[in-house]
Amino acid sequence: MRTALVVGLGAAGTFASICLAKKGWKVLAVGKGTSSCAMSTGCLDGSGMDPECLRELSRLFQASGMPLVGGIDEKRTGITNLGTRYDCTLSAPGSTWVQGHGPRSITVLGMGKHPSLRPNLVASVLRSWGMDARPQIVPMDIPGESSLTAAFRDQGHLDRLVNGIREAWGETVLLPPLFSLKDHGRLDELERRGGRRLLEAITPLGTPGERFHQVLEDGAREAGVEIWTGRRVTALRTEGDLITGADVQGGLETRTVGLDAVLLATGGPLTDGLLLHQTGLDDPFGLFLVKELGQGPHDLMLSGYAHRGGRLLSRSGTPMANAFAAGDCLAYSLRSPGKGLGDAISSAWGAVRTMEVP
Amino acid sequence: MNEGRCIKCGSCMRACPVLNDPQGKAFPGPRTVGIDAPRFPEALSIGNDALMCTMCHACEWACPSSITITRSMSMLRERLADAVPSLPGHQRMRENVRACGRTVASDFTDWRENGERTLYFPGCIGLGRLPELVRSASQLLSSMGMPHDISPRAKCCGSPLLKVGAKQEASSLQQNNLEVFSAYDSIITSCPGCTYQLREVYGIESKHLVELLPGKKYRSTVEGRWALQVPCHLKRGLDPWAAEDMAAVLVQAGVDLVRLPEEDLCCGGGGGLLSGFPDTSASMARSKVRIYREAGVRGVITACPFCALNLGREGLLVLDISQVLTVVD
Repeated sequence: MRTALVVGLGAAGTFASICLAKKGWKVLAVGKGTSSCAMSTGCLDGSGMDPECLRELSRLFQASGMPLVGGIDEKRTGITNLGTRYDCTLSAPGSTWVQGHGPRSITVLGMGKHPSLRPNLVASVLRSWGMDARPQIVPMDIPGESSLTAAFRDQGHLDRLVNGIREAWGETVLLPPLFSLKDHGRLDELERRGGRRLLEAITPLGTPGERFHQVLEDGAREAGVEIWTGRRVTALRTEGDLITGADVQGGLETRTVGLDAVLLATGGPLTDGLLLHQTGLDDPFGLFLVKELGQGPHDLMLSGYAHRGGRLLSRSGTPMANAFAAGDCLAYSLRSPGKGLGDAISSAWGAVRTMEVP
Repeated sequence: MNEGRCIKCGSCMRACPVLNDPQGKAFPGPRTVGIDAPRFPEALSIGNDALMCTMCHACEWACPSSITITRSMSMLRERLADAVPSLPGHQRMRENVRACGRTVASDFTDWRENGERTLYFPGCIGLGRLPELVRSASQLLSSMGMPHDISPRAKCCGSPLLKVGAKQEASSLQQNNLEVFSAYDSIITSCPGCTYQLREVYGIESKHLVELLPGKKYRSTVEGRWALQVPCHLKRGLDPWAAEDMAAVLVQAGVDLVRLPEEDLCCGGGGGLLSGFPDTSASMARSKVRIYREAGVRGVITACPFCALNLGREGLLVLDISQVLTVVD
């Protein structure tokens, strides 16, 4: 059995790990800290995605009990927790609508003084883009820093919310995200009991991203991926153009593992992946060529590992035999805001296909 | 410290097992207590609720900026101790230490002082509440070829006292213990809280029993399916390899082990939560017990007396790793 080491536990690394494990690789995935994917909105722009890749991703969400809605080119819209408009093509159910079929009248529901959704602010922003919106606050005592997902496991809170929804005006009610992946089915229950269409506000740095990450992590476990959290790959061992092993550091101890292929999914400079070096970026392993795209420091976000046919290049520009990369650590000239998550998934899919080519 | 690196992403709060418990909503959260309070002294008005942290390091592991949140919270507790009245459970603990040198009184009698080069340091909870754990750990160490003393002169490691801000008392215990330790070449513990204290605060090279297990052959003494309860201080505080090492040893020994994603979720027993906020601690333990019951396991195997005590109180069968292994010659 071939062993693949995947470095990075974000969207690209975890999705690639799942695909590799399903293709018969023994996969070890190493990383630390919360990934960008878990801080994202959990929505993605799937334009340009391979339909087979979307089928694989959809299967994972289906199995998690929170199926994805939308498609590669389906234009969907939602409302962010600030009341602004959010466009994507794929999202969790109950947080977006097909463009042109949005709600005309909406109540923005705040959970007491909890800062997750500010009804007055959001309603006035919604009115500014032509929607008939009214604010409403459900009286409940949930401290600002405490988690809504924990609070709404409590039946008392849920009952009070149902009453609030029943009293709401208009056809649709906008709520902050209330349910973790395990409890996501309760959104349907809430909709039935409240008698209104519910819409979850698109919220970064919260439950939706966490749910997205959880779907991938559960999928990886299910596929038999060995996940080493809280650890970091500090060095890669080479013989010529071949990577033969890796040093993995956790606490005071460093252990060496052997491998047949390595896939870097370490993210860009913001996520501690690529190193900031003087005015440009550098490879923390000191092995691979980093390509600078654009001009000036603001273009650093486009820069990353250079590759040929999916294989990483050595410092001298020749392709490595068994080193690959996916996601934000790759140099990518077409990246645009809001496309990161879709790009991460697509490039992980591409990297796995390259790894299958001898 | 390094709190200034905070990017306000909230990952620490979403990772916090206390905030995620219905009984934990009074806790101001790791960001307020571990990041803002140390920088803005006026935030010290948060009072006793700031102590509702189990020191499980989950926030620290979640932090994308690698802020040492747990350490910051420990330092804050020292300052809080002068500002807020002590909780009844914490007071009792301090009185016990004053009376007998340990957080709980012990009628343990199997002391061994044979002039060995190794000292087994079981800790207060083991000696006071789980003497069978201490005996099995001692037996396992002996059969692993590690003869050792168990000294009545070694007292509380001081970790629980630091958690309630009693720095003076903790440092006099440390002085006493270091004197006892000076007669030995190595110190072995079975409580991750003690290990953390000895290594990170005393600065000596102590080892937890789990760290000594790999490399030998064992046989299981238990039947049925088991899950792991991975101790927070051990895995996230000291040794990220602990869960894999425990699992590998147990599987090799023939234990039918199921790995659950929630195995390293905090049980609620640490950081003074069990003595200071027993309701929150019990609620966290109940949630974990529910997860284990749903998984259909007979019980859990752990390596921490606090986990054993807290989950055991909620009716779960909990065994220390030393209670399920015998050495194969």
